[in-house]
Amino acid sequence: MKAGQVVIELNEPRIVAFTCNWCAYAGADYAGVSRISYPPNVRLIRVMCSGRVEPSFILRALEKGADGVMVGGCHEADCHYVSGNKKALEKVEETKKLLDLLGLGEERVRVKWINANEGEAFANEIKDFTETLKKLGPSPISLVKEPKEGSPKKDLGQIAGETDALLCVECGKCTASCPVSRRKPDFSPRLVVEELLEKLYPQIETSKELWDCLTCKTCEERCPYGVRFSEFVKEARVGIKELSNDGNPTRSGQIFSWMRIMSQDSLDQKRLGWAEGLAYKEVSSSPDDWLFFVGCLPHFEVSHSPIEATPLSIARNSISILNKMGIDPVLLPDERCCGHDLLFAGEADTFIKLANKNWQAFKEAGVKHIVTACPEGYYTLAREYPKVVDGWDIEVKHITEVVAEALDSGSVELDGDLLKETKVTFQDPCRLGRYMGIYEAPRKLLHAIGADLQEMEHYGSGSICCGVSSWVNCGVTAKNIQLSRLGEAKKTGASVLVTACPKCQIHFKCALHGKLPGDKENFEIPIEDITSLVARALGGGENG
Amino acid sequence: MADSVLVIGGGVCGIQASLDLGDRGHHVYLVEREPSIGGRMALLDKVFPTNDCSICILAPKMITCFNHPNIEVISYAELEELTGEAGNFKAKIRKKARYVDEDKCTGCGSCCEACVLEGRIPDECNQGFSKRSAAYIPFMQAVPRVATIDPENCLYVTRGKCKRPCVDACQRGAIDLEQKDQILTLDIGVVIVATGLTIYDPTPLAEYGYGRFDNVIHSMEYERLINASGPTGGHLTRRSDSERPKRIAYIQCVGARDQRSGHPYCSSVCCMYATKDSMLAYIHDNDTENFIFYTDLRAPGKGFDEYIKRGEEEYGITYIRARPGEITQDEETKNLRVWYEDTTSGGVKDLEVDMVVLSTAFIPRQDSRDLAKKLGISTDEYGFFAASDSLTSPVDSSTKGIFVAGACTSPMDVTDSVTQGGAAAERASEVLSMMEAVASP
Ligand SMILES: Cc1cc2nc3c(=O)[nH]c(=O)nc-3n(C[C@H](O)[C@H](O)[C@H](O)COP(=O)(O)OP(=O)(O)OC[C@H]3O[C@@H](n4cnc5c(N)ncnc54)[C@H](O)[C@@H]3O)c2cc1C
Ligand code: SF4
Ligand code: SF4
Ligand code: SF4
Ligand code: SF4
Ligand code: SF4
Repeated sequence: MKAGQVVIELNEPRIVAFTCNWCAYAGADYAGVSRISYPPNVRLIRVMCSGRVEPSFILRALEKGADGVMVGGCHEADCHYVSGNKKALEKVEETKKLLDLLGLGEERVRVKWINANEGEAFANEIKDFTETLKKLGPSPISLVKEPKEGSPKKDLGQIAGETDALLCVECGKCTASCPVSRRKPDFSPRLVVEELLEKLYPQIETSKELWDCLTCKTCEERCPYGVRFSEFVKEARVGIKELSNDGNPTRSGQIFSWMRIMSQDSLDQKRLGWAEGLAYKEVSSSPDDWLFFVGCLPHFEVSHSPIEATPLSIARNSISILNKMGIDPVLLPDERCCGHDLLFAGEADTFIKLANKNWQAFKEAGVKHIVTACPEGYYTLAREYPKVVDGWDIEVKHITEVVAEALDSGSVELDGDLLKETKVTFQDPCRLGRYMGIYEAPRKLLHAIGADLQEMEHYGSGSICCGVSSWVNCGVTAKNIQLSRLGEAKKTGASVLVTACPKCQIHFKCALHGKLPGDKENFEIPIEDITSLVARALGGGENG
Repeated sequence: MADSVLVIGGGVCGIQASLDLGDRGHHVYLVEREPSIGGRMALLDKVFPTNDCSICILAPKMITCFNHPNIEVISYAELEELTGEAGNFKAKIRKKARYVDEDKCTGCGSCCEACVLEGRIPDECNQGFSKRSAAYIPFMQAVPRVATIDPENCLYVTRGKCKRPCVDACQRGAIDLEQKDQILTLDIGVVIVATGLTIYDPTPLAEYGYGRFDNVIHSMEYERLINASGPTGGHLTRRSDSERPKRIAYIQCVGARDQRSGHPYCSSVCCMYATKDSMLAYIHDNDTENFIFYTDLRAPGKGFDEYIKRGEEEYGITYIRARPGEITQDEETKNLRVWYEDTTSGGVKDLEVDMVVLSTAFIPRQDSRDLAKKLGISTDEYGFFAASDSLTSPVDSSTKGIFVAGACTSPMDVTDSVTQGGAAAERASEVLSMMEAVASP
């Protein structure tokens, strides 16, 4: 049995209670010394402060088989760290929203303030929670499986062969092109391969470098020998992840947890609340219908509200654009995560599960065309799904392509005065640009709305990544990349930085929310997704 | 049976082949597409490994060739069609109208000065660094030294509208604006193809900023800038401010040994000529610092390694083992920063320089496949003409009676091109005499 695993043989609800050292845990202890009996369904995990309990902890507990999670802390004014309990409350609220989206119900998580001498209160709370959970029945995700140990993984030598890494002549062009190496001198893509191949598995266990890569494909774009380093990284991470080297996931893995939960069978997701008032349908009625693939936007909205990112407005603006073009898209009530981030973070088997679930749903909805506003989803559906599902026959496009094509054929007209004489600059998303080769479509749209596009120092195929990919390794290097990118945007004299990827937007807004070195003026620039501009140029839309 | 030889391409290789054949008494038609013979070598300043003046070596050969009793130079002409077989080829040659009577023109240049388009048309020989007229003589040592009126730009030829001061300026009455293309049909015994090479346009390698940054140039542009008869009179200057660059970086293997641009092969000459170029810059001004970024230094040949060593020791060239990832430009000074990984000691470094020279790949001419089709010979996967057996018959094409030589078969330097020209002449002569022996026993 692994540490932290909860195993109860009885067919009883399983509760994990995170309790703070000073009050709630002491309260539970007090119940024990006072011989107050309470149901054996609970497992206590002591934390110094309830404020330490991240949504990721709660999700992880649920993912590992808990039916309910309790967070116990001190009464309102009693927190030993002043306001930890207030933070706990906020985090639990955020978690509840995520659980709601996943259709798990918010009743499975609760907060209780318990004093060190409130043994009775603790016992009563557990009794009550157990009863509630009995009524709710077992969690639909109580059967989440860890990736099988020893599941088929490729040998590094084989990966190197398949990705042409063996052709490398050690010229260093990759390193000199890499945005990470430029800021983190000990990182060199060619050396990562070389060292891994020299030392094989003993090295992979400790290889932090494998997580430093942004899989941005800049090195690949330039490597004279066509070494596909980001693919090497993607494949090699499967092995490294199994050795529990996970590359410091963002928000301690919360995002990966809900992605894994989304790979479960019997979910009753409630993810379409945002689309109220927009014209859409749930099943296709003609072979020409478009499905709008929403991706993780509803979840991102919840987990990124503190940095004022509004990913859902990208979804709403996209629907508004499609509606104005006379398209009522199909939206799937049970759409799953596309799996991109899991795939690039070494969880290939969960990715395959997600891909097949979506494929099934696409087939059931009867769609042959998919449009998305997320370049990662775009790449994943268009390029990775055909590799792992049987009989893939769906055309996938990015929203900018769909609108650009409509512009070309004259079937849609954009307000050419919307940004008349406004200078804008554009961030090419790695997946849209280097992965899918789409550089022109977004530029065509900007041109069509009258914007004066000022390119950054690095643009097009030489564009620099927004600093983080697949939610790993968001650290100093990521921040430095983001700041220098914002600096480049600022230097163009543009009054808005246009993005075409929800994550680019999130990452830049996050950087702007942190401490900015020196004069803020060198970095601060309004950020707007291209869908917001296009929707407005069609007479609809909202800012975002 | 026809016993004339058709040599296609009047670069150093084709010239050598023609001279060797002519000296042996064979009749040669040397067909050159451009207004003058000479090829690439006529435009170079100095040549490695001797650092001799390129045109000083070539010009006498060009003139000898032109005046040779057995050689008929047909310039400004192209092959239209080749039919028949070894010993009995029929070649249709289109001699393009140059609107100047070659026999009357003395090459005085008055028409060029008189032309209403004087100084308006980018001069291809000077890589566009200078402008010429519609009536022009490509370079000073051109052979034949006659004027040509460029049909793509001349106002009279294109639109029929021009006061034609060129005609008035010509005291010899050599200009004939009504001239038409001529088709010559020649009886040919054997053919030698020596159409040479061209260079890769590095614009698609956006990371190096060619076309975006004024002071990033390619090696052919450099050759013209450092050439005493070039557009700057041999003063190496920057495009941005006409100042002399004091720190120059040379980037090797640009588009060469590069799968992505489709040229995975080595161009074999650029490591050497970059060293030559650095030496020249140093010889012009010995406070010039030269940095050569190489992937592997390829100097295979007698005295070549020593040449590199001299470059390092006597001319202070710094060789850096790295293929740079990116070049950035300082907006104000227009200086360039070369970003590279120091592959010997590690870490990303950058070097500020005044000028970057891209040693860009040798590639087959765009029309090499078309020409191969006309001739019925095969090319390799890149478009270089293929030898029937590159080990044992390096100048025999896949078709009997047609020989291939020089840089149109593979990247090679002047020495090798001349050697191949000689070899092709030898083989051509051999085949001709064999066929003659069979025809008249
Ligand atoms: C930048 C640079 C620097 C160099 N420096 C050196 C150096 O220092 N030392 C050295 O040894 N080598 C050097 N070289 C290499 C040298 O230029 C070549 O080896 C040499 O020119 C090859 O000779 P060639 O006759 O085979 O081809 P070319 O010189 O290319 O001549 C081919 C001729 O064929 C003509 N032609 C092409 N197509 C047709 C057609 N269809 N019909 C009729 N005519 C046609 C062309 O107009 C041209 O005149 C350098 C090359 C470059 C690009
Ligand atoms: S750019 Fe390519 S060939 Fe050069 S060191 Fe990097 S991986 Fe190797
Ligand atoms: S994919 Fe991007 S981050 Fe990763 S090594 Fe290549 S250039 Fe660097
Ligand atoms: S006709 Fe006019 S344009 Fe043409 S060469 Fe003479 S002067 Fe120049
Ligand atoms: S055409 Fe007449 S003017 Fe022109 S170069 Fe010849 S002789 Fe002189
Ligand atoms: S000769 Fe040198 S510079 Fe040219 S392709 Fe070969 S290795 Fe590269």
